[in-house]
Amino acid sequence: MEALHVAISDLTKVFPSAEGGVTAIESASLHIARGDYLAIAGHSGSGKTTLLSILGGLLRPTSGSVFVDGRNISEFSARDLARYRAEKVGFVFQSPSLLPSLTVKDNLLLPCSYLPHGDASTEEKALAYLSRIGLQQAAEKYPYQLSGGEARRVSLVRALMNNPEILLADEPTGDLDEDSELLVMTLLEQFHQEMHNTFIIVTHNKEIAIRAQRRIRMSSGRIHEEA
Amino acid sequence: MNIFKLAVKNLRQNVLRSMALFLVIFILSGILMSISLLHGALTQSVELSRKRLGADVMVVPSAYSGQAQEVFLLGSTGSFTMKDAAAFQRTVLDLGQSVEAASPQLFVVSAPLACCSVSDTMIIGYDPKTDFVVTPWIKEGKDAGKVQGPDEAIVGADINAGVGGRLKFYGREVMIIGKLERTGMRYLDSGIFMPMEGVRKMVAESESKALKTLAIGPDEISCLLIKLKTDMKPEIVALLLEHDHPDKKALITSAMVRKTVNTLAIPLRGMVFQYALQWAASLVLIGVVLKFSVDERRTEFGIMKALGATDTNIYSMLAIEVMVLSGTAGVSGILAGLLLARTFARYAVLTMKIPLMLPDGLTVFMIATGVFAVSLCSGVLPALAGAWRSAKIEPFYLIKGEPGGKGMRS
Repeated sequence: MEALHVAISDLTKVFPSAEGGVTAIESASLHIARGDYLAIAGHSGSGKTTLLSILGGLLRPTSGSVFVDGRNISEFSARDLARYRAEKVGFVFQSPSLLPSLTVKDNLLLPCSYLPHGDASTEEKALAYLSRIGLQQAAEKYPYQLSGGEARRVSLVRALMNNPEILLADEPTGDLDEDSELLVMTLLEQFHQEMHNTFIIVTHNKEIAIRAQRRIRMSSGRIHEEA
Repeated sequence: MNIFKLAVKNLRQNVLRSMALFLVIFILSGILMSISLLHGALTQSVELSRKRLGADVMVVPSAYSGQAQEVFLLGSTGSFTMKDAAAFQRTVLDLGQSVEAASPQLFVVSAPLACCSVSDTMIIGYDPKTDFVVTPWIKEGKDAGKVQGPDEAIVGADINAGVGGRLKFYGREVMIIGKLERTGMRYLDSGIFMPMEGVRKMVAESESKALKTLAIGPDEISCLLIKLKTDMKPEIVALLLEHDHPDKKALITSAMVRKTVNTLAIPLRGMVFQYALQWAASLVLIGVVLKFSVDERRTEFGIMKALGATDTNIYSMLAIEVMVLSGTAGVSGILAGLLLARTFARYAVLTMKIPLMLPDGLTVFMIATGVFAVSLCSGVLPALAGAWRSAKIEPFYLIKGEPGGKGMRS
């Protein structure tokens, strides 16, 4: 059995609202082993993105705890959370989220600049990743010069630049055509196999969810394990 | 990829936003610089003029007092004389302990004729032995004032001739043995100063050597410049002299300058007030532009934070962006403001006949430093305030572009 990597315990997130609060996650508990490939499925509004954001340190829970490598990240200071995001986590967002003022290569280098200890080989690494996803010619292009599928692939390798232990992907193929969707998913799975990181993907697409080693379903903020 | 590179790339990529901010800060610093210089000119002109002229009281023929004021304050050309100079000078010196120095001057205007090297220029005869107005300003040929002979001259900073050069006036040639440093007063900067003996010879020889004869008697002078001891009030000395010599006018330097400067003070202060209002409006505008600019970048900040950026990283990037922008806009505005103030001061002297003198170099530097600091703060503070507001919002809300605390679930 793989070692425990992430442990969520009795997690609740309530968003404040005029009516007094909207419960996005309610008393959720979950254990994720190191190297797991986990798909979180569910309808819109079921709490998937909220859970992923809490796991990535983008959002604090209302109550409960999230342990990563035995440390409760919900008690981290803002600076510790930033360091956690820089060193441990890679994000692939619903939209490509590349910074428009930076070239493709600079977008890849950006996460490395936030590491407390710089990596001298980052530029070579960025070019190698671009070559791997077939975009070596696009290094000096700006995001607006890329197609949706190309931007998504760049966004994917940007998430890997700091060798994250946890890769979080939120609907990474959301608005792509079938060919691009397949290409992005194949790349994600290849990188997961090579890097042995913990890979958590949020999707409402059953075909994508079924590719994962393990699946959970969320509805009304609660977690249901699937077979 | 370092933060500085990231900031510069952001500035380059968002040209419109950068240009809008540049323009607002440029206008702000330009207005502030010109306001400060003109305000400084208003408050300092009286004292600066008095110091640069050196004389507390200037006695001139009463019929020419207006022309004399234009000569001293604005550097206009004019020739006038009063008789019995030697006797009058003795009267002044008889005032005893209240007078520190008294020195006569004789004004001649060069003619636009072949006998003169330079036309329409003031040739000022002075007494090197008693002088306290001209010789303190000698920059080149430091001892020139003490040893000046009748065929020698000292020239003001604006005269296009150097030490060793030769000039001819009314047929008499003189050699330049000294040059004055720039004072900002045209009377000194554009004058040609010869010892009284030399001017008297030039006058005497003009009948035979020049195309125009100078009709000035041997005992005539244009003015007597008086420096008083510090505890003596110039108003009292002026009253005494005018009482004893009704044909003469004792001009009190500080009052003379103050009177003319005050004719400009009221409209200029009105202008300064208007500028101050515009400046305040500019500050609000900068705050609004920067607020929107920072707010529209919340998603960008959220993504950066998701990639591992700390609040300090975001603050530093924004601070560098705004400092580069505010710095260049501030320096450009300062230069434009300086040019504007100088042009206005020149216009005041030439057209409005008001001796508006800008502050000296050190004061201008200090004002420029202050304006630069204000320009930087005007940009950096609103930007950092915006970033501070963003820092309080969790990255989840920033990425979604929501104000924070009212997020949607999905």
